[in-house]
Amino acid sequence: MEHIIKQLKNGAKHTHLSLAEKAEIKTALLRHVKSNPSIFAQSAPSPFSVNNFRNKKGISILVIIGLLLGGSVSFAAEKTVPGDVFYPVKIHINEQVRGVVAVTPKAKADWDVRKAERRLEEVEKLALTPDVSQEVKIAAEENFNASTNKVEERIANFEKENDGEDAERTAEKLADMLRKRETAFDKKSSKKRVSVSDASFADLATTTVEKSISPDIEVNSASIDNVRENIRGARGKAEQKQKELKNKYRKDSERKHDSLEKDVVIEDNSSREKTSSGNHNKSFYKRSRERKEEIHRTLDKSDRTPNSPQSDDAPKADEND
Amino acid sequence: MKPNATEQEFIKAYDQFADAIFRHCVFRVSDREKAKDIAQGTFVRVWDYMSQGKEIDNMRAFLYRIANNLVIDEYRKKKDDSLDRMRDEEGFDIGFEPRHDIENKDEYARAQSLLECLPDKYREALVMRHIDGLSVKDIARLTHESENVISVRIHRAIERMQILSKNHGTHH
Repeated sequence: MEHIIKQLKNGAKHTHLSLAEKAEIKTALLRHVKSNPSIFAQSAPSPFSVNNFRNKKGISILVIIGLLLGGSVSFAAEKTVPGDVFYPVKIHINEQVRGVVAVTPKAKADWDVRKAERRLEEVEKLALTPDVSQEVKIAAEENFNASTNKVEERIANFEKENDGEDAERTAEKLADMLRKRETAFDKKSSKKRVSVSDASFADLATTTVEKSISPDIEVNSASIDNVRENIRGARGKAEQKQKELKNKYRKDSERKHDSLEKDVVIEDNSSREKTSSGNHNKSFYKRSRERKEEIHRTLDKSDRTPNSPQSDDAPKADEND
Repeated sequence: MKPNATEQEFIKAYDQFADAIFRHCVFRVSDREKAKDIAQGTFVRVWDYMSQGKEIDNMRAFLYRIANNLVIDEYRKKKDDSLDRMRDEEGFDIGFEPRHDIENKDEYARAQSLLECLPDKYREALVMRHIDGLSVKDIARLTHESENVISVRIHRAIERMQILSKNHGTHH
């Protein structure tokens, strides 16, 4: 059996096309290829061809480059201001992604405060940079105003939902942030002014440069004053809001406290009745008695008289326990 | 004109597999000229497929599949012409003498002659396994049969060749 197979295999070894035959077939095939060209006139396959899933190396290189590029663009975009090429990346990608993390209304409000701070940083940066067009500065200021308005909206929402604590906290955060930025901006702008005036003094010796510097100084000081005023206005508004909320919620809490005290008095009366039937424990009774005494100190003596028999009942509760 | 990537791939496939495909065809049809035609036709079909922008995952398997289909077409043509071939297809008669001049041929030619006596399906399996060196799994995939069927065909093909060889005193 093996012998026959061996014979066949040996025969197969010597069976092949002669060179002439091979060339003849090849010529015929090339003629066919020329007359029927590929409808996909491809050039050399790209090492990054995504269609070719076997090309794992190319795809992985592409992914790595994409990640590196995306990461560096995103990082570079963080320092941009309106008018920069990557500014939309900062607004529409970086901030959107970070905003997704903020889920609760509280976290969202915090993120809005942070965004307002970022917009303010941009305004400050533009004010301290020479040769920035007025349009860009206005756009940045509008962005800042819009972001503070957003924070105010958040505060209003908290108020609507009777969440005084968060409303107050957000208003405080905004006011704090604006206060800090105002101080920092004052420092920065004064330094800048000194350096610019120093430069102008030095340049006074060379008359040719003098003319080119003086308009910049004017533009800078005007925009710096403008920004300072803007921050001050926003800060004043935020502080005002904070104060309003504080007063409002303080009054509310006092009112609540009073009503609570009254509740305790009523509770005491009812608890006295209950303890007489032996249902209350000693600690609760003690606590209520202490609170009651406190209230009695503040209340009018005439109001106390109907509750006076309580003291006689207390030992009864002790006996029960 | 510089050949594009598809052309280059096609030419490379021709240079690499032309002899193997031709050999397969020779052992299937036992006619050198016909085998040449079938081999050429195989590559023409491959180009027609590639030129449409379709991708070929396994060029070798693809070539054997096309060649096999063309050989089957050739058998059909023959079948129409020959009643003898028809009898081979339906069932091989052991007592049948395939070639009158079988003793006069050398060993290889005798083996070839014995191969010619096999029904096409047995011949197909045997050539693919022992001439082309394809695995049973690959053959099963190419012929759309189960691996078990292919193994049985190969075994029976060898068995029949042995009997034929004994009958004509060619077995050593």
